[in-house]
Amino acid sequence: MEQKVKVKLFSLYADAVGRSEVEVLLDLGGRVSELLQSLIREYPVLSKAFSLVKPIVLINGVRAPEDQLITGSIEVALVPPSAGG
Amino acid sequence: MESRKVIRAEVTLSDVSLNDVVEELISKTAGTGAGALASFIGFVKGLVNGSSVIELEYTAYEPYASRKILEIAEEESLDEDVAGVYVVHRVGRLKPGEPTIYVFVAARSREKAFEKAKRILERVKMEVPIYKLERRSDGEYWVIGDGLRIPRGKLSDLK
Repeated sequence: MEQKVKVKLFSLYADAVGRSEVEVLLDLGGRVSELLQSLIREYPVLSKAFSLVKPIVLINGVRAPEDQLITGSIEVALVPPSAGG
Repeated sequence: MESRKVIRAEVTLSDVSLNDVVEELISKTAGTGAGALASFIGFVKGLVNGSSVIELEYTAYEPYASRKILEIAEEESLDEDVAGVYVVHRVGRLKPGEPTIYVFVAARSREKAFEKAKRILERVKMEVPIYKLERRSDGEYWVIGDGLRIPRGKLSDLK
């Protein structure tokens, strides 16, 4: 069983893909690390973008570790380190 | 957790009237033993790495950016010597010289006011999901973290 996961993209990642939100398929019980792999499979340009700047995954606005499960009605975002100020 | 010490903490499009903020902070904290007000204003540089800056375009991931600013303001105002905190980060397109971030801290001592204003500033820069694109005379750059710049064209070339 797979789930569709909407991912909001920011900064250079949105620029690389050309969209500010994408949808990827992920196995039920998939984790953050697998989501990153799915994103790269679907949008190979992200592989280069990730090598330039290591991505951070936010779940409901909070930084998620790579082993965190992605499940339920959550909001996922792919962001670089913050650049406020 | 909700602190009455936090006068304002959020992301906004508009600039701030300094006189109004100073008046509000002083009037709300004078009776609590405060006697110092430290302020920090960040503004857009007109020159970076020898090139003229045309504008910065800030994007915030809302509502989480405003929530995080509020969380930082509330955490830092738990200090009993802090009497009032006002922190606002602007988004949108900002030209050189335009303010980008305002941090004001009223406290019982000047040391505490300066220390907390610096700490809040650094935390907002590091922890709040805000991103920026720098448009310069020599091209466009994504600013990553505290200063790394990725040329925008470099990503287009990857496709």
